[in-house]
Order: sequence, then C-alpha cells, then structure tokens
Amino acid sequence: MRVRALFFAAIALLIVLVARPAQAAPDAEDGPVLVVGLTGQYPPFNFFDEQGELSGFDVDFARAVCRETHRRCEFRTLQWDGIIGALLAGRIDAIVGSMAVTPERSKAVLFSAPYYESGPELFVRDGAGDASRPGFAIGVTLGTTYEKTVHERFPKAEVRVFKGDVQALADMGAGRLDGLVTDRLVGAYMARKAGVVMRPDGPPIYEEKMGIPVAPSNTALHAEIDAAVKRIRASAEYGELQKKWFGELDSPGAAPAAAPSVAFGRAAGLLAHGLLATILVCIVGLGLGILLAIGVAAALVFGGRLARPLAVLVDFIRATPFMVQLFAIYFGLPSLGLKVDAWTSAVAAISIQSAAYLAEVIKTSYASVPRGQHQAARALGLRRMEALRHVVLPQMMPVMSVPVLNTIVAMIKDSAIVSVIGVYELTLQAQQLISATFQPMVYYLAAAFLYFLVTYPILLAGRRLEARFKARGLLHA
Amino acid sequence: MPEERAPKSSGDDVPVLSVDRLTVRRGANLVLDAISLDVEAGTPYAIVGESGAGKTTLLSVVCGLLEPDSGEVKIRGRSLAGLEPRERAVQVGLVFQDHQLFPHMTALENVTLAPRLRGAKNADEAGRALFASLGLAGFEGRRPHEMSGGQKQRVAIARALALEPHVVLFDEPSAALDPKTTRDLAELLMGLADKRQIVVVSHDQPFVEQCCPRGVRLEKGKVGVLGDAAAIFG
Repeated sequence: MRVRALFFAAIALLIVLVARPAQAAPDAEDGPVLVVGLTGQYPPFNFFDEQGELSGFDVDFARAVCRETHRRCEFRTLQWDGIIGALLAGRIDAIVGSMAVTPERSKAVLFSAPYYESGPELFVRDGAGDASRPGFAIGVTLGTTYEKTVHERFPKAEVRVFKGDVQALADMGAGRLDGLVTDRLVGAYMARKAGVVMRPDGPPIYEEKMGIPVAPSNTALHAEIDAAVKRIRASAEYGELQKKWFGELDSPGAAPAAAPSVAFGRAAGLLAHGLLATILVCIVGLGLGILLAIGVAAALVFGGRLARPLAVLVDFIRATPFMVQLFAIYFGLPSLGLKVDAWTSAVAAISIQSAAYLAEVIKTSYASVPRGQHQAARALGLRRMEALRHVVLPQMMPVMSVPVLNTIVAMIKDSAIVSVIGVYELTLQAQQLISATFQPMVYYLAAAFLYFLVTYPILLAGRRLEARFKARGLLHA
Repeated sequence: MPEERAPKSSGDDVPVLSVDRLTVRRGANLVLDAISLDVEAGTPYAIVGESGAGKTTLLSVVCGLLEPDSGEVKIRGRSLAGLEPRERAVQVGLVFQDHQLFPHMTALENVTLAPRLRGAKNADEAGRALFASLGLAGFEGRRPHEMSGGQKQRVAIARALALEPHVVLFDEPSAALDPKTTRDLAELLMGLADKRQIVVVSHDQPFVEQCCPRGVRLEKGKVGVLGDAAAIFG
C-alpha cells in the first residue's frame, strides 16, 4: 500500500507543479480579461525570450491596448494556421500577432486600424545564387499572405511551406532552403540573432498593414480596440516601442550578433516543466482512457445489440488521425456550445484515442481465453464475476500486457501533438526554446531524451512481464 | 437390468441420475430425441455410441453447460432445472477430456478454488488429502504446463471431487493415455465409485470393459441398448 500512497502523492505533486499557470500570466491589473492569441514563434514581434517569457513588439502593443481598454491581457499561443479558427470559435478575443489586413480575412473577421506597417522581403542564404533561377527553394509560413506572393513573384522557384518562420530558418541553416520570404523586420531580426548568414534581396515586395482582428459579432470590443490603437499610435509611447524592438535593425551594416543562449538552469526548468505536463496529461488521459476502454470492451463482448454500432465507432476512431480528433474537440465542440479549454481537450482526445485502441486489445485478449476455460469455471459453479476475476482475467493479462504497454508508449509519444492547440507540454516547451535560441538540434534532442526517459521503463517493464509470463507457461515463445 | 450395489444409497430407491424426455435440437436436427434414462447408484456407468449419437450433448446438458429444449435432469430425485451453477456444481461435477486446468494456478490452487470461493475454511487441507488419495502428493505446487497428461488428469479429477458432488462425469477420459495409464485410470474410477456415482462418456471399448460393468449405447439421440459392456458395444 505504501507504493500506492507514494504514487498518489507523486501525482498530487505533479498537479500542483503543472497547474501553476503555464500560459503567460495575465497582467496584474483588474478588469475583464482580454484573451490575446498569437503564435509566440514570430520574433521580434512575439516570441519567448531567453527567460522563457513571452515578449516582443506585439506583446508590448497588446499590453498597451489592454491598458487603454481597461482589461487584463491573457496571452494564448496557437499555431498560425488555426488562429482565426480559434478566434471564430471564441477561444480567444483578439489576435495581436502581426496579422496583415487582407480582403479575404476582412470577410471573416473585424480588423482594427493598422497598428504597424511592414512588408514581405526575400532573404537569401549566402551562396544560394540568383532567386530567379529555376528550382531556387524558397520557404514561407503556411497560411500567411506571403505564400501567394511568392508563387506570383518567383514562378520558377520551388516553394516550401513551413509551420513558422523559425522552422524555415532552421532549414535555411541546414542548407535545404535558398531563401525565405518573411516580414522585413522579422527577417532582419533573425539574420542578426540566429547566426544564419542571409541578406535581404532587394526592397520589400509590397507594403502590408497589420491589424487586430476580433470576431465579427464582437462589434463593441472592435470599437474599443480600434480607438485604443489610434490613441497609442498617436502617443509618444509608440515611437519608444518601435525604437525598443526595431531600432537596431534599421541600422544597416550592424554586425550579426551571436545566437542568444538560454541559461542552462532556465532551459532545464522549462523542459522539466514541459515533461511534467506531458506526464500529467498522459496519466489523466490514459487513466480515463483505460477506464473507458474497460467499459467499451465489456460492451463489445457482452453488449448484444450495442456491440455492433460501438465496434464501428471504435474502428472509426482507430482509423482517423489523432490530430484531426484533437482539432474536432478543440475547435469543433465550441460550435455546439461546449467550450472546453486546451488541457481538457487534450485529455479528452488522449482518452478517446487510447480507449479505442485499448478496448480492441482487451476484446482480443478476452477472445483468446479458450471456451473450455469458461466452461470449466461454470462446471465448478463459479459465478460470472468469480469466473471473470479468478479464471478469465488472469489469463487475459499475459496476452494483453505487452500490447497495452505498447499502446501507452505510442500514446505518450503522440501526446506531442497536443502542442498544436497550445498545451505547454514537452514538445511545445522545446519549440519555444528553439524559437528563442535558434538551436533546434539541442532542444529537440533534449526533448527526445526526456520522452525516452518516460517511455523506456515502460518498454522494459513490458519485456520483463513477457519473460515472466513465458516462464510460467502462460505465453508461448 | 440387475440392480447393483448402491454405495451412496440414500436409503430409498430413487435413481442417482435420471434423465426425463430430454430433447435438444440443433437447427432441424434432433440431437437428443426425448431421451429418458435412469442410473441407479452403483458401479461406474458408461455412455457409449458413435460420433454424433448425442453422448457429448447429453453430458453437456447434465452438467449444465447446455440448456435442453425440453425435458429435465434429476440428481437423487431433485430437478436441476433452474439451478444456479453454484448449486448445480455440488450435484454434478465434470472432468473434461482436455482437463481444462487453469494454467495460471498451481495444481492445488486449481483444486481449492471452488471450495475457497464458497468459504471453505479447510480447503487447503482437504485439497492436500485429495492429492494424497489420488497419488498426487508432491505435485501441489506444480503448474499445469509442468505436468504430464496423466498427472493433469488426476488434478482435474481432484478438482471435480473437491465439491463432493453426487455424480461425476468423465468426458472421454482414456483418450490420449497409454495402456498402462488407462489401466490405472480404470482402477481409480472403480475405487472412486464407492462414494459417488461415476459416469463415463467414451467410445474406447477396452477401457469401458475394464471399469464400467453397465451402461447405455446412444443411437441417433435415443437410447439404443442398455446393459453390460459387451452388450452396449454389441
């Protein structure tokens, strides 16, 4: 029993550690909350700095907007290609993430007056040659206005789409990209900070105006933000913000700075926090998944009429991608009036996915117990539950233990996917460290090692169990 | 047929096992065709017949693994209809052809499981005594995969005897046994018949001749011949 007490104490500790606000804390001021969406991967506009804090021009500007509208800012990081979906689903109130005002977007959302102007520019790796040559590889972020521009402006180029500028930059560092098209200020910042030698190729392609969108139904908020943007732009504060973030970038010929580094302790703390979050989301998700799987397996085996439709549902879940299910829960449920936060969505998606796989494993292992064993239990007068507990279950264990542990390991690995809805688990923490330091090798390797630390003991346990069951003659070699 | 000595006679002349107009259909086929049979308490009783004659079906119905379409089974005059498996198991026990020992338990655990679940305090002691009486002393801690076919069969017999049922059924007990083990088994069954009724389903004539002085031959789901071993194998 001591082991069990320790186990629960460990879980309680995990909950306490992880439950402290993982997402950037709201500003201390009182008032209603303004949930601000951004990617956190767009330096110098919004990114996680060397201290792991969300910072940048967008972040400072959003804080000014919150102050002007008497609200508390709460930041939420999301993937760029899902950010308008999150706004329309009511998960965030506004996007202060350098979103360009375009006619297409204006049909879906309400933009404020522009809060800055910039424009896309092509940055070219040293020695990459002429951008007009065929096969010149240009990277661009998925869902940006630049994607279309690149196709039009460089028709012979090979266009590659990335989740974010940081990933495109990493590919450029690796020599797989010849150039990338991004905001001129972003590119200049990255050229200085990332240690990737690249230079702007000609002037900006065109000018863009960045606005703050809100949901079209939210006209009152739109009016407030619009007025606040105009006030801030007219104030002296705006000039200071520009100087703070872009001042040095506008001085041509500035020497490239060394890539910023994050203190080891700080990075280790962030990764440890991410690891704890991964462990917690997996323990809760898989715990619920196992309970659900037992119920589903029982219904599949004994459910009579219920079994058939349930089997189809289980197959459906097993046959569809985990990420699609996660999006369906996170972005789809709000349209049905159910607003669940990212954590709950992640736990729900993990439970459902693992329950489908585990139910199948349990059902198969039940079927593997010979009919004669059920009959022997019955002939001895065992009640149904007695037979299940003393005869059937102990024989299911050897058959299902390894597949169950394998499913758990697979699910822990797949939990990395919940980073896309902004759950601050291991993968997302690693990505943020990478966006602050431009060192993908170091932090992806560190994350991989931490995943291994969690999954390897489970694999080992599976192997030991298998050997033990074989020694007892309960599993055939 | 001549009445045999009745070792576990309850003092009256009620048959220990009685089958009354038992019918089992499988699709359009009558597997058991309103079969009626009385077995008086005494020496081991054989049920023989060709494949498909209904032997296994009859055995399955008697020990409650199969519900008949009509008719009933009585043990010492008491109908088994509607009895829970728990109550039925003290009336009739079964030794499976392939033993069906529980592979995750030791031999002794196999034997003591049912008594323990019924709250028997001395299940272990009784189990060990059974092991000794069946020549299994020393095998208590073995697991099924560590024992020979003959040893596993004795454990299966001990398991069926542990609840002290009035009737113990054996399904093809001599299948896959060598001649020496078969002779030992026949002797064992004769000995066991002292305290409970032994019923053997078999198509092994030499074995039946060794241990069953009487029996029935089933033919197409009906009683064909009643009599001694020579008669029923006719």
